[in-house]
Amino acid sequence: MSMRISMDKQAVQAENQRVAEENRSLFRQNKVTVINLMSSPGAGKTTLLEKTVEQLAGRYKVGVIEGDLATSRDADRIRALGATAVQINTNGGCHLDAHMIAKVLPDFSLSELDYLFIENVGNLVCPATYDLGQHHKVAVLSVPEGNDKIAKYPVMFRHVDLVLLNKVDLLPYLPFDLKQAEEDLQMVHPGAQWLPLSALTGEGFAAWLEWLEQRRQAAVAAQ
Amino acid sequence: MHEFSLMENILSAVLSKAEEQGLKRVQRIGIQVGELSGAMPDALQFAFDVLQKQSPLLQSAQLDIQIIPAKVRCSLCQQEYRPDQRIALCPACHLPSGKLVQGEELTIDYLDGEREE
Repeated sequence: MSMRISMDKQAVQAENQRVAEENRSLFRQNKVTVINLMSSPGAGKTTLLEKTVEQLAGRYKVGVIEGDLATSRDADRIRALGATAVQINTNGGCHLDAHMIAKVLPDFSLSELDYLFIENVGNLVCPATYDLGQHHKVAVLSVPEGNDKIAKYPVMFRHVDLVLLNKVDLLPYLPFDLKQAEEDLQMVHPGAQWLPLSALTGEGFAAWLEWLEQRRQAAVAAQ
Repeated sequence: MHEFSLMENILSAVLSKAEEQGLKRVQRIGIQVGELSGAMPDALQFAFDVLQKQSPLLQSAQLDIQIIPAKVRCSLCQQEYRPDQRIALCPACHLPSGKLVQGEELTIDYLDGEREE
């Protein structure tokens, strides 16, 4: 006898969501501010993190999870600055998921951390839809990629609270329409924040650190 | 890029439901894929064709993919529209006043199967 059974529109990513909520509650208990950084390969996430860790060191305890297809080079770069860094190699996987994060959390003393940065796999498509339990999703876009990326990858830019435009020191040399990019972001995701900066020269970094400080205070105040 | 792992999630949910219901074979699986879900229907179909061979219960099953178009409603004029890439841009108000109301779905809708007598 043939029959139809309803699956009640069960979410395909339900299991990821469940683990993401577990991560989130751990982060909340330990009052650690967690940022999921996403971008295409080469946008400068690791250099940005190095600069950020340098600036926060001394005042705050910082942990970093580095997601890459292969090698531990990025984690080595961060560790050299004195932060706790754990490398996840996805061996070809195109994004980090909540399980991968949950597996490495015991490597950190979460209660001692103020910030945990998760550097996702370089990819503007797949990481967008995977909740890791983070407080904020941040995209890094860089000047050499061109200003059309926001309109071309709306799924990514719809999911992020903040877009960091990196490598602004290259603006005098490359045709990048700043106004158009900022307008595209508002058309894709009204209310998303936009901060131009250069991880190389430090230009614009004060605003990024201020943004982080506000998020940290909010995470510490939240019950 | 990750449609294989999405399909593994789908089939594992379907198989546990089929076993719970005592099905001897699954004939059809219905899923909904939103245009802005980040998943590609063709790649999901390909993953299904490969993965169904691994399970006796799924050998003759078909995948029914319902594509859910993106739909946006303007919060100012209430007009509904099919967005282009500038999702929030209302074509009537020319302002970023649109809110996505559908198109991000990635869900399992139903399965058809035969129960053991």
